[in-house]
Amino acid sequence: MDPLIELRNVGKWYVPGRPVISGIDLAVRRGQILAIRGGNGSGKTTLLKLIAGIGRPSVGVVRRAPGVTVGYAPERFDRLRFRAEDYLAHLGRIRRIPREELGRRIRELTDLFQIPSAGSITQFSKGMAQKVNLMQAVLARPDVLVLDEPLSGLDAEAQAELARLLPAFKRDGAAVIVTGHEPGFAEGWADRVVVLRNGRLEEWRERADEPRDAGDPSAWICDQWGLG
Amino acid sequence: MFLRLAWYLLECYMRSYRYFPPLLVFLIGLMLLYAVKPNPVMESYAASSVLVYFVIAWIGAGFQGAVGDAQEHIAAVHAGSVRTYLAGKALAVFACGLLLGIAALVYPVAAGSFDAPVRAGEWVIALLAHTELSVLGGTLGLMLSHPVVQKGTHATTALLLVLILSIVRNGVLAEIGEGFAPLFVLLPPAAPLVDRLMDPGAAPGMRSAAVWAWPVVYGGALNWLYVRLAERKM
Repeated sequence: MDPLIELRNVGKWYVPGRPVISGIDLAVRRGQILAIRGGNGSGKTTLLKLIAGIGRPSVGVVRRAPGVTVGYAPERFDRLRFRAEDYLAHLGRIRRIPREELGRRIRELTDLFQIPSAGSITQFSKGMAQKVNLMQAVLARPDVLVLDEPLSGLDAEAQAELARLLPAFKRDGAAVIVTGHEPGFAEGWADRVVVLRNGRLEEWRERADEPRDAGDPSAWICDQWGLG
Repeated sequence: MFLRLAWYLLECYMRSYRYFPPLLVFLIGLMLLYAVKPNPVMESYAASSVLVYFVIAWIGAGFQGAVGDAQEHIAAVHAGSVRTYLAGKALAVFACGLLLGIAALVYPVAAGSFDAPVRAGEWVIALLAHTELSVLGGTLGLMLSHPVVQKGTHATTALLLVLILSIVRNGVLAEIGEGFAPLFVLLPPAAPLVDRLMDPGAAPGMRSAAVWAWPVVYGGALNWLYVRLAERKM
């Protein structure tokens, strides 16, 4: 299967001579959950941004298959003074989603994520704002879903709730790329785990079994938090 | 797409209330400018065009803060590319500039502040000058702010320095000598536009055409450079 997105010898620096990431070779395939592990400052966010098409690599090539769409949820979600539905409607219009389809999709997502229709996003809790972040990322049913530390700062319940959704995106045929820094993160449920250390991919592990047999991330989260 | 993106960014900006300080300065500036009546038409428009130039630069510099890094990245992904996003952002700033320019043209007429009726030719020249200066100022504001210049204090200092020097260029050169002119050659061509407004009867010719054409070329090049640099820094 041809990769949806392929990175070849990719490097990125903001200050010449100080690469944030370098020598990255990576292929993103349909129906795969790819987990990128690494500590703070290891270059995870920079790598994700390049995969999502934000900015260009300083060296190397990021190749995207024709017609591939990407959804991106950053780690930090700036809360704008919009109602969630209005915010999503703006982004949907920028994506040129037809009006009726957009209305249906927004209703579907607000029901799924149980987001109130009243009130500005600025009044939402961190967990609720993170849900809006995920909603905008999946709004256009992207082929590749890029999630930067989606579990960061959330309590156990919210983490488990969000993590339960990841296999659903995968079942819809999307590739999911997710980062985390916790030890053991994604070991049990991702199809492939890549470790970034000092901006380089030092090791990676691919599950021997079929991607569709991968485990449930919410089970790992419950285990981490000592929940039943 | 650009229009929808620009509209979304304008709404983000309006909802952040960051427009309030520059708008207040703009309105107070206009009121002070026309506090005493009557006023000469083109000299007054020259002053208001400088006001628009500074205020739109302030708005351009404040736009990023209203949206935030993460929301910029999200909007860029939805827009399809960082370049499309940056072009939409520039369009939103120019729309603000156009509104300020029109307000600066209409206000003194509505308030009866001029010593003579504004002729059609004067309207055209004043509108052109306000538009060109708002594009130059807006692009400078975008260029000399995050993400191109990462540190806020550096960005503000650089922006103020460039804005002021580009307006007082001729006066400074008169003091220090024309020999230093090459040092100022890269500054935005704002002063010649203002001078042209102060001297509307100047004979048409190549030099006069260059006064109007050069800011368009300069603004285009500056926008191109802004998109390239911002794309690299995002």
